[in-house]
Amino acid sequence: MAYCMGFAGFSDSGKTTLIVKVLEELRRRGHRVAVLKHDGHGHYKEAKGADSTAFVEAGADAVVTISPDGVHVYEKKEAPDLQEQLANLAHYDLVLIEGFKKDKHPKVAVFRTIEQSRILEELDPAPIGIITDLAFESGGIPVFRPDEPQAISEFVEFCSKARQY
Amino acid sequence: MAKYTFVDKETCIACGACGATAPDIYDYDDEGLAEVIFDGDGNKGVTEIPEDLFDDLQDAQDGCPTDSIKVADTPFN
Repeated sequence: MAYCMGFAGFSDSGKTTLIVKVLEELRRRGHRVAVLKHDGHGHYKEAKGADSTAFVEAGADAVVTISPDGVHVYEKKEAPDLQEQLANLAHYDLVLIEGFKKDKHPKVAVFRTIEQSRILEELDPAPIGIITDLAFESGGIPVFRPDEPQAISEFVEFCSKARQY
Repeated sequence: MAKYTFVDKETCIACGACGATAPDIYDYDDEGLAEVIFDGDGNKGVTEIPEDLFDDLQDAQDGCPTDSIKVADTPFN
């Protein structure tokens, strides 16, 4: 079972940039890493003009595109479920989850400003780590800077000993 | 003052934070849920935690996202 670590924060808190750095570091350390992203406002768009997009736009229930270096899957779903998708990723070592701040998997809180630090009050369960540039009193949980992907990766490795979510 | 600890597995979410913070005290069962392993405690909360691990114990309790780590001055059973 893959260990899941969520990166929770408000819009423009640096989650994506951070996850890119952390996943690169975790890959360097030999882990197989999946990323699962919340697109809460439906911003995701298929590539304009691509054949696969034409199939999606024509209403296909699913479109699978097999390329030389990977498989791209689109599935139409009325209520996509995080746990169901995580189950599909169980064979990876680690799953980094962007968003889904209301779900129960372990999370670190990501913020750049005092205003964005309100995320700490919204997370239940509470975060197990904080990632911020601010000088922040942690209340007993580790605090990392976003330019410390190595230390953050080490923390994820330590926590992943549980191998569950 | 002696300290004793156990993990409430009903509320533990298997985040791994306690084992990362205090690996001499906490480890995980087959489901990834935390448990006290210090000196063969078996998560009963009856084994005295030595003073040199008090800081780790406190950090683990503070860092638990679901308050599942229980600490007391007397044995739990």
